[in-house]
Amino acid sequence: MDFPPDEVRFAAMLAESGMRVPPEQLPSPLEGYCHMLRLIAALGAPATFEAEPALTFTPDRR
Amino acid sequence: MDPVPTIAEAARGIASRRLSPVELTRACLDRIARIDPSLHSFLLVSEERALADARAAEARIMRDGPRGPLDGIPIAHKDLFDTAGIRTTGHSRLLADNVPARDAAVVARLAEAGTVLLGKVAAHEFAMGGHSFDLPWPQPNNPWDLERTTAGSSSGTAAAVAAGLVLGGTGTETAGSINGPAALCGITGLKPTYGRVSRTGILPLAFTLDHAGPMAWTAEDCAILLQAMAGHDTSDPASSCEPVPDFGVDLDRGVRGLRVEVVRHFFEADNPASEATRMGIEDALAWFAREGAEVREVRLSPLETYSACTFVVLLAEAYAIHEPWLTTRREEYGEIFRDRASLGGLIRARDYVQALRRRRELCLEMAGAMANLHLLVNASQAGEAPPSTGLSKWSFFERPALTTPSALTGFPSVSVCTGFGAGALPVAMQLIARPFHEATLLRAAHGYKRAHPWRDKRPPMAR
Repeated sequence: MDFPPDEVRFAAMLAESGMRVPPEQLPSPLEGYCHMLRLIAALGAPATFEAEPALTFTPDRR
Repeated sequence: MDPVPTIAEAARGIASRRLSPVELTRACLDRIARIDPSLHSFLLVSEERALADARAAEARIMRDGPRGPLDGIPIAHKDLFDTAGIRTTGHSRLLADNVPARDAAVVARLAEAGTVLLGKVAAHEFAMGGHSFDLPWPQPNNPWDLERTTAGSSSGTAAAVAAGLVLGGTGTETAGSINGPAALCGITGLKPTYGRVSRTGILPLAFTLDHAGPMAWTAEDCAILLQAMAGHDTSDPASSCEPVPDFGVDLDRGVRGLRVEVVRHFFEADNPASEATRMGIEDALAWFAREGAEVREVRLSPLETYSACTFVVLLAEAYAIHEPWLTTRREEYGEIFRDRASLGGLIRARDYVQALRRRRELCLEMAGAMANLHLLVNASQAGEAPPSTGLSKWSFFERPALTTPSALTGFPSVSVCTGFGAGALPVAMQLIARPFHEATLLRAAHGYKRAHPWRDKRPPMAR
Protein backbone atom coordinates (compact mmCIF):
# COMPACT_ATOMS: atom_id res chain seq x y z
CA MET A 1 0.00 0.00 0.00
CA ASP A 2 1.80 3.12 -1.19
CA PHE A 3 -0.95 5.67 -0.70
CA PRO A 4 -3.33 6.44 2.14
CA PRO A 5 -6.71 4.78 1.64
CA ASP A 6 -10.07 6.38 2.28
CA GLU A 7 -12.20 5.17 5.16
CA VAL A 8 -14.16 2.65 3.10
CA ARG A 9 -11.03 1.05 1.75
CA PHE A 10 -9.39 1.20 5.19
CA ALA A 11 -12.37 -0.57 6.76
CA ALA A 12 -12.11 -3.28 4.10
CA MET A 13 -8.41 -3.76 4.85
CA LEU A 14 -9.13 -4.16 8.56
CA ALA A 15 -11.97 -6.56 7.77
CA GLU A 16 -9.63 -8.70 5.68
CA SER A 17 -7.56 -9.09 8.85
CA GLY A 18 -10.66 -10.10 10.78
CA MET A 19 -11.25 -6.73 12.49
CA ARG A 20 -14.78 -5.35 12.19
CA VAL A 21 -14.52 -1.66 12.98
CA PRO A 22 -17.60 0.58 13.21
CA PRO A 23 -17.47 3.60 10.87
CA GLU A 24 -17.30 6.09 13.74
CA GLN A 25 -14.09 4.42 14.98
CA LEU A 26 -12.28 4.60 11.65
CA PRO A 27 -10.84 8.16 11.44
CA SER A 28 -8.32 7.85 14.27
CA PRO A 29 -6.67 4.55 13.26
CA LEU A 30 -6.70 5.77 9.66
CA GLU A 31 -4.66 8.77 10.80
CA GLY A 32 -2.29 6.38 12.54
CA TYR A 33 -2.09 4.22 9.45
CA CYS A 34 -0.99 7.20 7.35
CA HIS A 35 1.76 7.89 9.90
CA MET A 36 2.78 4.23 9.78
CA LEU A 37 3.11 4.27 5.98
CA ARG A 38 5.52 7.18 6.37
CA LEU A 39 7.57 5.18 8.87
CA ILE A 40 7.66 2.16 6.58
CA ALA A 41 8.86 4.43 3.78
CA ALA A 42 11.56 5.76 6.11
CA LEU A 43 13.02 2.25 6.33
CA GLY A 44 13.99 2.75 2.72
CA ALA A 45 15.18 0.33 0.09
CA PRO A 46 15.91 -3.27 1.03
CA ALA A 47 18.80 -3.58 3.43
CA THR A 48 22.05 -5.29 2.55
CA PHE A 49 22.37 -9.05 2.26
CA GLU A 50 24.56 -9.02 5.36
CA ALA A 51 21.57 -7.69 7.29
CA GLU A 52 19.46 -10.81 6.93
CA PRO A 53 17.82 -11.45 10.29
CA ALA A 54 19.86 -13.97 12.21
CA LEU A 55 18.42 -16.85 14.17
CA THR A 56 19.63 -15.28 17.37
CA PHE A 57 18.46 -12.42 19.49
CA THR A 58 21.77 -11.91 21.22
CA PRO A 59 22.12 -8.15 20.87
CA ASP A 60 25.69 -8.11 19.67
CA ARG A 61 24.87 -10.64 16.94
CA ARG A 62 21.24 -10.17 16.00
CA MET B 1 9.75 6.72 57.80
CA ASP B 2 10.91 10.23 57.10
CA PRO B 3 12.86 10.74 54.97
CA VAL B 4 12.07 7.76 52.73
CA PRO B 5 15.12 5.45 52.75
CA THR B 6 16.72 4.05 49.65
CA ILE B 7 17.03 0.28 49.36
CA ALA B 8 20.72 0.50 50.27
CA GLU B 9 20.00 2.64 53.36
CA ALA B 10 17.18 0.35 54.49
CA ALA B 11 19.34 -2.73 53.91
CA ARG B 12 22.05 -1.30 56.15
CA GLY B 13 19.45 -0.52 58.82
CA ILE B 14 17.97 -4.01 58.61
CA ALA B 15 21.37 -5.72 58.68
CA SER B 16 22.35 -3.77 61.80
CA ARG B 17 18.90 -4.49 63.32
CA ARG B 18 18.14 -0.78 63.67
CA LEU B 19 15.28 -1.08 61.18
CA SER B 20 12.51 -3.67 61.36
CA PRO B 21 11.16 -5.02 58.03
CA VAL B 22 7.71 -5.10 59.63
CA GLU B 23 7.94 -1.44 60.66
CA LEU B 24 9.29 -0.49 57.23
CA THR B 25 6.45 -2.36 55.53
CA ARG B 26 3.83 -0.75 57.77
CA ALA B 27 5.30 2.67 56.99
CA CYS B 28 5.00 1.97 53.25
CA LEU B 29 1.40 0.75 53.69
CA ASP B 30 0.59 3.92 55.66
CA ARG B 31 2.09 6.08 52.91
CA ILE B 32 0.11 4.19 50.27
CA ALA B 33 -3.11 4.75 52.24
CA ARG B 34 -2.33 8.45 52.65
CA ILE B 35 -0.87 9.35 49.25
CA ASP B 36 -2.08 6.86 46.66
CA PRO B 37 -5.74 7.97 46.55
CA SER B 38 -4.52 11.02 44.62
CA LEU B 39 -1.60 9.30 42.86
CA HIS B 40 -3.30 6.10 41.59
CA SER B 41 -0.05 4.17 41.27
CA PHE B 42 -1.34 0.89 42.79
CA LEU B 43 -3.90 -1.39 41.15
CA LEU B 44 -3.83 -3.79 44.07
CA VAL B 45 -2.28 -3.52 47.54
CA SER B 46 -1.47 -6.97 48.93
CA GLU B 47 -1.42 -5.87 52.55
CA GLU B 48 -1.80 -9.31 54.15
CA ARG B 49 0.87 -10.79 51.90
CA ALA B 50 3.19 -7.87 52.56
CA LEU B 51 2.91 -8.17 56.32
CA ALA B 52 3.36 -11.94 56.13
CA ASP B 53 6.47 -11.48 53.95
CA ALA B 54 7.82 -8.85 56.34
CA ARG B 55 7.23 -10.99 59.45
CA ALA B 56 8.91 -13.96 57.79
CA ALA B 57 11.87 -11.79 56.78
CA GLU B 58 12.17 -10.35 60.26
CA ALA B 59 12.14 -13.78 61.90
CA ARG B 60 14.67 -15.07 59.38
CA ILE B 61 16.97 -12.08 59.87
CA MET B 62 16.79 -12.29 63.66
CA ARG B 63 17.64 -15.99 63.41
CA ASP B 64 20.22 -16.15 60.62
CA GLY B 65 20.94 -12.61 59.47
CA PRO B 66 19.75 -11.22 56.13
CA ARG B 67 19.95 -13.25 52.92
CA GLY B 68 21.26 -10.12 51.21
CA PRO B 69 20.44 -6.45 50.70
CA LEU B 70 16.87 -7.16 49.52
CA ASP B 71 15.81 -9.17 52.56
CA GLY B 72 12.84 -7.39 54.12
CA ILE B 73 12.68 -4.66 51.42
CA PRO B 74 9.17 -3.67 50.23
CA ILE B 75 8.76 -3.60 46.46
CA ALA B 76 5.95 -3.70 43.90
CA HIS B 77 5.60 -5.30 40.50
CA LYS B 78 4.26 -3.78 37.31
CA ASP B 79 0.95 -5.49 36.65
CA LEU B 80 2.37 -7.34 33.66
CA PHE B 81 4.36 -9.67 35.92
CA ASP B 82 2.55 -12.86 36.94
CA THR B 83 2.14 -13.24 40.69
CA ALA B 84 0.86 -16.59 41.95
CA GLY B 85 -2.53 -16.22 43.57
CA ILE B 86 -2.56 -12.44 43.04
CA ARG B 87 -4.48 -10.81 40.18
CA THR B 88 -2.40 -9.83 37.14
CA THR B 89 -4.30 -7.71 34.65
CA GLY B 90 -1.94 -5.98 32.23
CA HIS B 91 -4.04 -2.98 33.31
CA SER B 92 -6.73 -4.29 30.95
CA ARG B 93 -10.39 -5.20 31.25
CA LEU B 94 -9.59 -8.34 29.27
CA LEU B 95 -7.63 -9.79 32.19
CA ALA B 96 -9.58 -8.18 35.03
CA ASP B 97 -10.12 -11.58 36.69
CA ASN B 98 -6.84 -13.22 35.75
CA VAL B 99 -5.13 -14.89 38.73
CA PRO B 100 -1.92 -16.69 37.66
CA ALA B 101 -0.95 -19.99 39.20
CA ARG B 102 2.78 -19.25 39.09
CA ASP B 103 5.11 -16.34 39.68
CA ALA B 104 7.01 -14.80 36.79
CA ALA B 105 10.66 -15.86 36.90
CA VAL B 106 11.74 -12.40 38.04
CA VAL B 107 9.04 -12.25 40.73
CA ALA B 108 10.26 -15.61 42.05
CA ARG B 109 13.90 -14.45 42.04
CA LEU B 110 13.07 -11.27 43.94
CA ALA B 111 10.94 -13.20 46.44
CA GLU B 112 13.79 -15.64 46.98
CA ALA B 113 16.02 -12.64 47.74
CA GLY B 114 13.65 -11.80 50.59
CA THR B 115 11.63 -8.90 49.16
CA VAL B 116 8.25 -7.96 50.61
CA LEU B 117 5.46 -7.80 48.00
CA LEU B 118 3.43 -4.64 48.58
CA GLY B 119 1.24 -5.14 45.52
CA LYS B 120 0.77 -4.61 41.81
CA VAL B 121 1.23 -1.22 40.20
CA ALA B 122 -0.38 0.45 37.22
CA ALA B 123 0.79 0.35 33.61
CA HIS B 124 -0.32 1.48 30.23
CA GLU B 125 -2.73 -1.17 28.95
CA PHE B 126 -0.65 -4.18 27.85
CA ALA B 127 2.35 -1.80 27.87
CA MET B 128 1.14 0.14 24.81
CA GLY B 129 -2.18 1.77 25.70
CA GLY B 130 -0.89 5.25 26.49
CA HIS B 131 -2.50 7.46 29.13
CA SER B 132 -6.03 6.06 28.76
CA PHE B 133 -9.19 7.23 30.51
CA ASP B 134 -11.47 4.33 29.50
CA LEU B 135 -9.91 1.49 31.50
CA PRO B 136 -11.27 -0.12 34.69
CA TRP B 137 -8.57 1.60 36.76
CA PRO B 138 -7.13 5.13 36.44
CA GLN B 139 -3.67 5.93 35.14
CA PRO B 140 -1.14 7.19 37.71
CA ASN B 141 -0.52 10.88 38.09
CA ASN B 142 2.96 12.35 38.18
CA PRO B 143 3.94 12.91 41.84
CA TRP B 144 5.77 16.12 40.89
CA ASP B 145 2.51 17.58 39.52
CA LEU B 146 -0.68 15.57 39.71
CA GLU B 147 -2.02 17.16 36.51
CA ARG B 148 0.92 15.76 34.52
CA THR B 149 1.55 12.36 32.98
CA THR B 150 4.21 9.93 34.17
CA ALA B 151 4.76 8.63 30.62
CA GLY B 152 4.69 4.87 30.37
CA SER B 153 4.27 2.13 30.23
CA SER B 154 5.90 1.40 33.61
CA SER B 155 3.95 4.34 34.97
CA GLY B 156 2.85 2.93 38.32
CA THR B 157 6.34 1.80 39.32
CA ALA B 158 7.84 5.19 38.49
CA ALA B 159 5.14 7.14 40.34
CA ALA B 160 5.21 4.86 43.40
CA VAL B 161 9.02 4.95 43.68
CA ALA B 162 9.19 8.73 43.26
CA ALA B 163 6.48 9.28 45.88
CA GLY B 164 8.25 6.97 48.30
CA LEU B 165 5.40 4.47 48.53
CA VAL B 166 7.76 1.66 47.68
CA LEU B 167 11.55 1.40 47.69
CA GLY B 168 11.84 -0.15 44.25
CA GLY B 169 10.01 -2.18 41.66
CA THR B 170 9.95 -3.81 38.30
CA GLY B 171 9.34 -2.39 34.85
CA THR B 172 9.30 -3.56 31.28
CA GLU B 173 10.57 -1.76 28.20
CA THR B 174 9.76 -2.48 24.58
CA ALA B 175 10.33 0.98 23.11
CA GLY B 176 11.03 3.17 26.13
CA SER B 177 8.76 2.05 28.96
CA ILE B 178 11.42 2.06 31.69
CA ASN B 179 13.54 5.03 30.62
CA GLY B 180 10.54 7.24 29.78
CA PRO B 181 8.62 7.15 33.07
CA ALA B 182 11.87 7.10 35.06
CA ALA B 183 12.82 10.38 33.36
CA LEU B 184 9.49 12.13 33.89
CA CYS B 185 9.25 11.00 37.52
CA GLY B 186 12.88 11.81 38.39
CA ILE B 187 13.90 8.30 39.41
CA THR B 188 16.50 5.85 38.07
CA GLY B 189 15.34 3.23 35.58
CA LEU B 190 17.62 0.64 34.03
CA LYS B 191 16.80 -1.26 30.87
CA PRO B 192 19.25 -4.17 30.87
CA THR B 193 20.74 -5.78 27.80
CA TYR B 194 18.24 -7.83 25.80
CA GLY B 195 18.36 -11.32 27.30
CA ARG B 196 19.91 -10.30 30.62
CA VAL B 197 16.63 -10.59 32.57
CA SER B 198 14.06 -13.33 31.96
CA ARG B 199 10.63 -12.41 30.55
CA THR B 200 9.03 -15.74 31.54
CA GLY B 201 5.66 -15.04 33.11
CA ILE B 202 5.53 -11.42 31.92
CA LEU B 203 2.71 -10.47 29.54
CA PRO B 204 4.47 -9.98 26.19
CA LEU B 205 4.13 -7.02 23.85
CA ALA B 206 6.76 -7.72 21.18
CA PHE B 207 8.91 -10.83 21.47
CA THR B 208 12.11 -9.46 19.98
CA LEU B 209 11.98 -6.13 21.80
CA ASP B 210 10.65 -6.89 25.29
CA HIS B 211 12.97 -6.30 28.25
CA ALA B 212 12.42 -6.36 32.01
CA GLY B 213 14.42 -4.22 34.42
CA PRO B 214 14.65 -2.48 37.78
CA MET B 215 13.33 0.95 38.75
CA ALA B 216 14.35 2.69 41.98
CA TRP B 217 15.38 6.04 43.39
CA THR B 218 19.12 5.52 42.88
CA ALA B 219 21.50 3.67 40.61
CA GLU B 220 22.84 1.83 43.65
CA ASP B 221 19.33 0.51 44.32
CA CYS B 222 18.95 -0.53 40.67
CA ALA B 223 22.23 -2.44 40.99
CA ILE B 224 20.88 -4.29 44.03
CA LEU B 225 17.62 -5.17 42.26
CA LEU B 226 19.33 -6.16 39.01
CA GLN B 227 21.65 -8.47 40.92
CA ALA B 228 18.63 -10.53 41.96
CA MET B 229 16.74 -10.22 38.66
CA ALA B 230 19.50 -11.11 36.19
CA GLY B 231 20.54 -14.56 35.05
CA HIS B 232 19.85 -17.30 32.56
CA ASP B 233 16.39 -18.84 32.36
CA THR B 234 15.90 -21.87 30.16
CA SER B 235 12.20 -21.11 29.76
CA ASP B 236 12.85 -17.75 28.03
CA PRO B 237 14.20 -18.50 24.52
CA ALA B 238 15.95 -15.13 24.38
CA SER B 239 17.61 -15.48 27.77
CA SER B 240 21.37 -15.03 27.67
CA CYS B 241 23.94 -17.39 29.17
CA GLU B 242 26.30 -14.46 29.74
CA PRO B 243 27.69 -14.63 33.30
CA VAL B 244 26.18 -12.15 35.75
CA PRO B 245 28.85 -9.91 37.30
CA ASP B 246 28.73 -8.17 40.66
CA PHE B 247 26.90 -4.99 39.69
CA GLY B 248 27.92 -3.22 42.90
CA VAL B 249 31.65 -3.81 42.86
CA ASP B 250 32.55 -0.84 40.61
CA LEU B 251 29.94 1.63 41.83
CA ASP B 252 32.45 3.81 43.63
CA ARG B 253 35.13 3.84 40.92
CA GLY B 254 34.03 7.17 39.49
CA VAL B 255 34.16 7.99 35.79
CA ARG B 256 37.87 8.72 35.32
CA GLY B 257 39.11 7.06 32.16
CA LEU B 258 35.68 6.41 30.67
CA ARG B 259 35.27 7.28 26.99
CA VAL B 260 31.95 9.03 26.50
CA GLU B 261 30.33 10.27 23.29
CA VAL B 262 27.19 12.37 23.05
CA VAL B 263 24.71 11.91 20.19
CA ARG B 264 23.63 15.56 20.10
CA HIS B 265 21.71 15.35 16.83
CA PHE B 266 19.21 12.96 18.48
CA PHE B 267 18.00 15.56 20.99
CA GLU B 268 18.97 18.82 19.27
CA ALA B 269 17.77 18.21 15.69
CA ASP B 270 15.95 14.88 15.29
CA ASN B 271 13.64 15.36 18.31
CA PRO B 272 14.54 18.75 19.80
CA ALA B 273 14.50 18.59 23.58
CA SER B 274 13.53 21.31 26.04
CA GLU B 275 16.12 23.83 27.14
CA ALA B 276 16.31 22.31 30.64
CA THR B 277 16.86 18.83 29.18
CA ARG B 278 19.66 20.05 26.93
CA MET B 279 21.24 22.14 29.70
CA GLY B 280 21.09 19.17 32.07
CA ILE B 281 22.93 17.00 29.57
CA GLU B 282 25.56 19.68 28.85
CA ASP B 283 26.14 20.14 32.60
CA ALA B 284 26.49 16.38 33.00
CA LEU B 285 29.00 16.23 30.12
CA ALA B 286 31.01 19.01 31.77
CA TRP B 287 30.97 16.99 35.00
CA PHE B 288 32.16 13.86 33.14
CA ALA B 289 35.05 15.88 31.68
CA ARG B 290 35.98 17.44 35.04
CA GLU B 291 36.04 14.00 36.62
CA GLY B 292 38.50 12.68 34.05
CA ALA B 293 36.29 11.09 31.39
CA GLU B 294 37.07 11.69 27.73
CA VAL B 295 34.03 13.38 26.15
CA ARG B 296 33.41 13.64 22.41
CA GLU B 297 30.52 13.81 19.96
CA VAL B 298 29.32 11.13 17.53
CA ARG B 299 26.78 10.98 14.71
CA LEU B 300 24.58 7.95 14.13
CA SER B 301 21.73 7.29 11.70
CA PRO B 302 18.80 9.68 12.08
CA LEU B 303 16.69 9.00 15.14
CA GLU B 304 13.70 8.57 12.83
CA THR B 305 15.29 5.44 11.33
CA TYR B 306 15.70 3.86 14.77
CA SER B 307 12.18 4.89 15.76
CA ALA B 308 10.50 3.76 12.52
CA CYS B 309 12.24 0.41 12.68
CA THR B 310 11.22 -0.07 16.32
CA PHE B 311 7.55 0.68 15.79
CA VAL B 312 7.15 -1.41 12.65
CA VAL B 313 8.61 -4.42 14.47
CA LEU B 314 6.67 -3.65 17.64
CA LEU B 315 3.27 -3.23 15.98
CA ALA B 316 3.64 -6.35 13.86
CA GLU B 317 4.66 -8.51 16.82
CA ALA B 318 2.04 -6.98 19.15
CA TYR B 319 -0.64 -7.74 16.59
CA ALA B 320 0.53 -11.34 16.33
CA ILE B 321 0.04 -11.64 20.08
CA HIS B 322 -3.27 -9.80 20.34
CA GLU B 323 -5.00 -10.85 17.09
CA PRO B 324 -7.32 -13.41 18.74
CA TRP B 325 -8.75 -10.77 21.08
CA LEU B 326 -8.62 -7.89 18.56
CA THR B 327 -10.91 -9.91 16.32
CA THR B 328 -13.27 -11.31 18.96
CA ARG B 329 -13.22 -9.06 22.07
CA ARG B 330 -12.28 -5.80 20.42
CA GLU B 331 -14.52 -3.51 22.47
CA GLU B 332 -13.02 -4.71 25.75
CA TYR B 333 -9.73 -2.95 24.99
CA GLY B 334 -9.22 0.70 25.73
CA GLU B 335 -9.43 2.85 22.62
CA ILE B 336 -5.74 3.78 22.46
CA PHE B 337 -4.38 0.24 22.66
CA ARG B 338 -7.04 -1.04 20.26
CA ASP B 339 -6.34 1.60 17.63
CA ARG B 340 -2.57 1.27 17.90
CA ALA B 341 -2.46 -2.52 17.90
CA SER B 342 -4.88 -2.83 14.98
CA LEU B 343 -2.34 -1.19 12.70
CA GLY B 344 -0.06 -4.18 13.14
CA GLY B 345 -2.55 -6.29 11.21
CA LEU B 346 -1.92 -4.11 8.16
CA ILE B 347 1.87 -4.44 8.07
CA ARG B 348 2.95 -6.53 5.13
CA ALA B 349 5.39 -9.39 5.61
CA ARG B 350 8.00 -7.66 3.43
CA ASP B 351 7.83 -4.51 5.57
CA TYR B 352 8.27 -6.50 8.80
CA VAL B 353 11.22 -8.40 7.33
CA GLN B 354 12.71 -5.16 6.01
CA ALA B 355 12.46 -3.69 9.53
CA LEU B 356 14.28 -6.75 10.94
CA ARG B 357 17.01 -6.35 8.34
CA ARG B 358 17.30 -2.63 9.03
CA ARG B 359 17.54 -3.44 12.74
CA ARG B 360 20.51 -5.66 12.08
CA GLU B 361 22.23 -2.79 10.26
CA LEU B 362 21.47 -0.43 13.14
CA CYS B 363 22.82 -2.97 15.66
CA LEU B 364 26.02 -3.12 13.63
CA GLU B 365 26.17 0.68 13.51
CA MET B 366 25.74 0.90 17.27
CA ALA B 367 28.32 -1.82 17.90
CA GLY B 368 30.78 -0.05 15.60
CA ALA B 369 30.24 3.30 17.28
CA MET B 370 30.79 1.77 20.70
CA ALA B 371 33.72 -0.48 19.84
CA ASN B 372 36.18 1.80 21.66
CA LEU B 373 33.69 3.57 23.83
CA HIS B 374 32.13 3.07 27.26
CA LEU B 375 29.02 5.25 27.09
CA LEU B 376 26.75 7.04 24.66
CA VAL B 377 24.82 10.02 26.03
CA ASN B 378 21.33 10.87 24.81
CA ALA B 379 18.17 12.39 26.27
CA SER B 380 15.64 10.05 27.88
CA GLN B 381 12.65 12.21 26.99
CA ALA B 382 12.34 15.41 24.98
CA GLY B 383 11.27 17.46 27.96
CA GLU B 384 9.35 17.81 31.18
CA ALA B 385 6.15 15.83 31.81
CA PRO B 386 3.26 17.14 29.69
CA PRO B 387 -0.32 17.52 30.96
CA SER B 388 -2.18 14.22 31.18
CA THR B 389 -5.03 15.46 29.01
CA GLY B 390 -4.71 16.24 25.33
CA LEU B 391 -1.90 13.78 24.63
CA SER B 392 -1.73 12.64 21.01
CA LYS B 393 -2.59 9.00 20.38
CA TRP B 394 0.06 9.00 17.65
CA SER B 395 2.80 10.92 19.45
CA PHE B 396 5.35 8.16 18.88
CA PHE B 397 4.69 8.43 15.15
CA GLU B 398 4.78 12.23 15.10
CA ARG B 399 8.19 12.62 16.81
CA PRO B 400 10.86 9.90 16.84
CA ALA B 401 11.30 8.36 20.29
CA LEU B 402 14.64 9.06 21.97
CA THR B 403 14.53 5.71 23.75
CA THR B 404 14.41 3.60 20.57
CA PRO B 405 18.15 3.32 19.75
CA SER B 406 18.71 1.37 22.97
CA ALA B 407 15.39 -0.49 22.90
CA LEU B 408 15.71 -1.57 19.27
CA THR B 409 19.31 -2.76 19.45
CA GLY B 410 19.06 -4.34 22.90
CA PHE B 411 21.98 -2.28 24.22
CA PRO B 412 21.52 -1.50 27.95
CA SER B 413 20.57 2.00 29.06
CA VAL B 414 19.77 3.94 32.20
CA SER B 415 17.81 7.13 32.78
CA VAL B 416 19.38 9.54 35.25
CA CYS B 417 17.74 12.71 36.60
CA THR B 418 19.84 15.75 35.65
CA GLY B 419 17.82 18.47 37.36
CA PHE B 420 14.53 20.29 37.16
CA GLY B 421 13.00 22.34 34.38
CA ALA B 422 9.76 24.20 33.78
CA GLY B 423 7.30 23.81 36.64
CA ALA B 424 10.06 22.28 38.82
CA LEU B 425 9.57 19.03 36.88
CA PRO B 426 12.45 16.54 36.49
CA VAL B 427 14.53 16.21 33.33
CA ALA B 428 16.95 13.40 32.53
CA MET B 429 19.76 12.04 30.42
CA GLN B 430 20.03 8.52 29.04
CA LEU B 431 23.31 6.62 29.17
CA ILE B 432 23.81 3.66 26.83
CA ALA B 433 26.54 1.02 27.19
CA ARG B 434 27.80 -1.99 25.24
CA PRO B 435 25.85 -5.24 25.60
CA PHE B 436 26.15 -6.74 29.09
CA HIS B 437 28.01 -3.71 30.43
CA GLU B 438 25.26 -2.63 32.84
CA ALA B 439 27.93 -2.23 35.53
CA THR B 440 29.41 0.68 33.56
CA LEU B 441 26.03 2.39 33.39
CA LEU B 442 25.50 1.94 37.11
CA ARG B 443 29.02 3.16 37.92
CA ALA B 444 28.53 6.37 35.94
CA ALA B 445 24.99 6.99 37.21
CA HIS B 446 26.05 6.39 40.82
CA GLY B 447 29.05 8.71 40.49
CA TYR B 448 26.87 11.44 39.00
CA LYS B 449 24.28 11.08 41.77
CA ARG B 450 26.86 11.27 44.55
CA ALA B 451 28.29 14.47 43.07
CA HIS B 452 24.88 16.16 42.93
CA PRO B 453 23.22 16.32 46.37
CA TRP B 454 20.09 18.00 44.95
CA ARG B 455 19.39 14.57 43.52
CA ASP B 456 18.03 13.60 46.96
CA LYS B 457 15.08 15.99 46.54
CA ARG B 458 11.76 14.15 46.51
CA PRO B 459 8.43 15.40 45.11
CA PRO B 460 6.63 17.72 47.57
CA MET B 461 3.86 15.16 48.12
CA ALA B 462 6.46 12.59 49.26
CA ARG B 463 8.13 14.76 51.86
